[in-house]
Amino acid sequence: MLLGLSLKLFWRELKSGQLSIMFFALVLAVATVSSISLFTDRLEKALLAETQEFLGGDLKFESNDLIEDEPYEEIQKLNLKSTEMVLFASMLASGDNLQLASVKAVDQNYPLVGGVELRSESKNIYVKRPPDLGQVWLDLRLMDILKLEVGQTVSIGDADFIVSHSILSEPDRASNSFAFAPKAIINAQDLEKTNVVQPGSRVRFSTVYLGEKAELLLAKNILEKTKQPGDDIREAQDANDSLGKAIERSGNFFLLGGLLAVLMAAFTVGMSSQRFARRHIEYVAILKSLGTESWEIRLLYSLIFIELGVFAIFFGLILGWFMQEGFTGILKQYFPTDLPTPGFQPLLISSLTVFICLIGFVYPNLVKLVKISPLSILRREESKTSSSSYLMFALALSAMFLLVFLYTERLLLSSIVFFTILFIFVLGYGIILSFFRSTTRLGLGANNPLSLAWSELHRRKYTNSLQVLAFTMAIGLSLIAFSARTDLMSTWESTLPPDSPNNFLINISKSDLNSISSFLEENEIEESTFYPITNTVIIKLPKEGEEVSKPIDRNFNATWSSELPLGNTIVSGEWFKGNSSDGLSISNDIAARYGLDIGDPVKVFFADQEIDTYIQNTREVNWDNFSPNFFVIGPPEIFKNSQATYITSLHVPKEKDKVISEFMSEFKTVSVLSIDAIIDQVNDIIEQVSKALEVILGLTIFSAMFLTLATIQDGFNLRLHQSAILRTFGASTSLLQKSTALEFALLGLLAGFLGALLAQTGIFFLETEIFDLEAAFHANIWVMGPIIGTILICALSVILILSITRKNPKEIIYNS
Amino acid sequence: MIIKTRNLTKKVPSEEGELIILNDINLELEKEKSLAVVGPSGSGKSTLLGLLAGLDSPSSGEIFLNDQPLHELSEDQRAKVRKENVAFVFQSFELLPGLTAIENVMLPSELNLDKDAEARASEYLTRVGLGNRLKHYPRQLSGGEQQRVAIARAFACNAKVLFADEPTGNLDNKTGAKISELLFEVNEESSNALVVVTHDANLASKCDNQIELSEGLIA
Ligand SMILES: Nc1ncnc2c1ncn2[C@@H]1O[C@H](COP(=O)(O)OP(=O)(O)O)[C@@H](O)[C@H]1O
Ligand SMILES: [Mg+2]
Repeated sequence: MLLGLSLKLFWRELKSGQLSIMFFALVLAVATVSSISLFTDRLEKALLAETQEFLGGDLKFESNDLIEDEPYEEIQKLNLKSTEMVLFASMLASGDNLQLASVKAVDQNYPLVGGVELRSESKNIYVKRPPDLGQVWLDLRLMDILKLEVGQTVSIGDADFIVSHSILSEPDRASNSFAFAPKAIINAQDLEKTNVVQPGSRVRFSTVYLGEKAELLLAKNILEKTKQPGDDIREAQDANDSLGKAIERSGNFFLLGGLLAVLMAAFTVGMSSQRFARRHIEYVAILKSLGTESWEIRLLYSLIFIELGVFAIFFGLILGWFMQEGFTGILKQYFPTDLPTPGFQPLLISSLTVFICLIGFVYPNLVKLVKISPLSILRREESKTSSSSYLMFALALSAMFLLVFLYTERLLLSSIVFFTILFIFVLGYGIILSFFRSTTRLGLGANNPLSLAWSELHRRKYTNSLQVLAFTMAIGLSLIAFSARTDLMSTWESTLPPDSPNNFLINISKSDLNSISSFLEENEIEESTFYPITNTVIIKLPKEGEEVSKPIDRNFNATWSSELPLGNTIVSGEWFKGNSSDGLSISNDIAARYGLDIGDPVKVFFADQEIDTYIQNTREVNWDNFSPNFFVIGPPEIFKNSQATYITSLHVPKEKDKVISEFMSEFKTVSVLSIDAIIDQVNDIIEQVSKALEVILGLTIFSAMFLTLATIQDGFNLRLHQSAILRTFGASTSLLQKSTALEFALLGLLAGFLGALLAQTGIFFLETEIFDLEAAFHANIWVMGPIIGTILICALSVILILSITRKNPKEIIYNS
Repeated sequence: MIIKTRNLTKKVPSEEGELIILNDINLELEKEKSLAVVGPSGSGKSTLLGLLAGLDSPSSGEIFLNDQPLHELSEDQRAKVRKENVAFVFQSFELLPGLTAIENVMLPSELNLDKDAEARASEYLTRVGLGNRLKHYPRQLSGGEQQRVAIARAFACNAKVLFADEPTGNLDNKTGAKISELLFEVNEESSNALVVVTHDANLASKCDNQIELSEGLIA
């Protein structure tokens, strides 16, 4: 019975447009949330696939030796796919041309994930197999230097190979040791006949595993146990490269957009439901006087809103799916693999969003509505709000926090958003109440628009403060979205300036330094710092009272320098002083991962030396700038006797690409790594993300409009009625229009300032806590906020006021 | 003549074609006289009152209020005519809930830019017997008291015609009788005309003229 009645009421309200704003706000929220979370879900999966491909699998073990028999067999028992590779550096020869290259010998299972993109003659192919016996695949650049064509012969060690294809791209680029050099790939069965790998020669053995999480964990534990200093275990999820950073950051942008939309929808629903409840007072009073019990009324209205929720979820999800397809379309080309199908979680999240909105922002109004006494049919005015307004506030606040947390799954971000908004609310409330504390003088001041507006502002200070807060939300959150699209994006873009390094020179010997410098000068390429590198292993020494010293499971390329490299910032401790001969500087990531603190004693192995020292400071490393970055830096004194090679980065303009080939044939032992492709990819992602952000910005502004409309509508019937009475006594419509416009303009101005404050505060925390950017003062927000606030809210109110004039006062008074 | 209508007709669009609410009404009222409009519910009394007071515009026909052709005037021009000529008392009082009694009564004076709005409002409220309730809000007053505030407000209009739409309809008999008395006193003291819609035969009989409406026609 009640269900039928509720459906009938719901349908009637929906058709008459009384639920429209609430309905559209919810649909928009569901659409935004679901599209963004569907999309980020797929984005994350794609990112994992990407890093998987970068690593060649889920788990990679690199060692100077083969894995011992016992652990090897243990791992074989697990249900994991694996492929084994041997990596070494060797001279490749073709006629008179010689070049040092890194060679990778791969087995039958290669590649575990992804494929190798090859070119033969003019055709590009994508294969998932190793090279055939007797054949080699060569990096394009290597073919260039050796002046080779496909089909010709090249010798590696004692064996000759036919160049069957050139390599365009390969999975498994994340190797520690020889990755930087131009590469050759051969079949593992051909390895023996090259005679390159002899006892004592520098070779890395690498195994990549692919499989389920649990099995991978077991394998990892086995490998941890057998691990020697210099061995290296890597997992797909700890990718920390620029591309991963870029994708993670764009994920944050999307998340932020969704969050803003959800918050706005929640407030819109709150405002509209207040109005809804007010309009239903009489209805409830009649139902009650006819003997309907409170619980039935509560059930009736709960059903109506559940129906609204279900309806909104349905349409929101449909809309969200299409939007998500749009986003995916935009970014699809940047992922080598097809985007994985999305999971179920986004659907769950958007449905939960709607019901949290309804419980937190609608339910308190329903509680008030149900408490209406049947007597209020006789006395039309509202019953006074009582203790339930505290309940309402508490519920709305917890709902807001819950929403934010549900959506971001991050306590920090949630707290930032929550407390910023709370702070602004308290501030706004305080400003309004103290500004309009007392009624200045008797009367409504209906003699001119200004005094009428002024007196109304005093009289309505409680409802106005609520409205201003809602406007503040609408303006502030839109400004945040706008700023994310413009300022934050451009700050991010400028972290990748057009002249950022796009080539690394690696494996430079000391004797080459001068001639390289003059080569660069001749070709007008700007040189930057040459960092010495040596391979180190660090062992954490026991402190007093502790027992074991656990070797850190990686070897590091350490450098030494008396100056802090550009783009690095000290997080704790101090940089080396003067000619200090003690202490190490490590990146804060490494410090956190291996539990190293300032002052912790460590032992450092490098070349054939062994030194006891301690952690002097930790650094934040800037992964955005593509300069050489080092986990470990020491003062020059420590390493002065080590045999170092040098590394440097260069910006080589596109038109000077030929210079690189010249460089490589002149300095054959120096490896050149070009990262143009990666830089292009990151730039593309930034560009595409900003396009997608534009869509989200549009959605946010849409939601803001709904919120503003709902807010202006709230209490609008009261205004309408009052103005009709004033008109009966001869008040002109222009007086009423002007005074209402003035009133809203002032509220808009105030909301504009508060909104700017909200945005600036929010952006400050976003910059510092979420996006790792420099905090900045955003003057444009402070200009736009008040102007947009004043104009927009004034304009919207005028549109509504015009509806006053269309009706004559008789109709308004007699039909309400 | 303070009020004069010729062939006054009001139609509204409805689902079954046009609905004629008032059909060809001709009436006249002299200055300082009173007119009672009676008739069953739905016969068009409130509609007529709204038209005469310039709150609404007719579909056809002519209305002259104090010689001003209301049917030719725009809403803003009619507002000006109302400001100078019209006072209104409603069945459901229509006081502004956010204003005190005295502030409600001050409204017409404020709109007319009168200087001594407060003093006059206080005088009128005293006149209707509410001199001790000036600072009370409508919700703190009984129905009869609220209607008295509305009458004081009508006083303050200093109008040529006082319109009252079932002014006693929401009140008990005894209170109603007092309110009718007050209305006639106002009518006398401020020498204006009075048009009152009522079901109260007693009140109607006190008026100089009476018309009865039935289905939009003068019976
Ligand atoms: N704006 C309107 N739209 C449709 N019907 C209306 C409108 N105004 C009045 N009516 C109808 O006109 C008739 C007369 O209404 P009214 O003047 O209020 O009567 P009374 O005051 O005599 O009870 C009623 O049937 C009413 O429903
Ligand atoms: Mg009526």
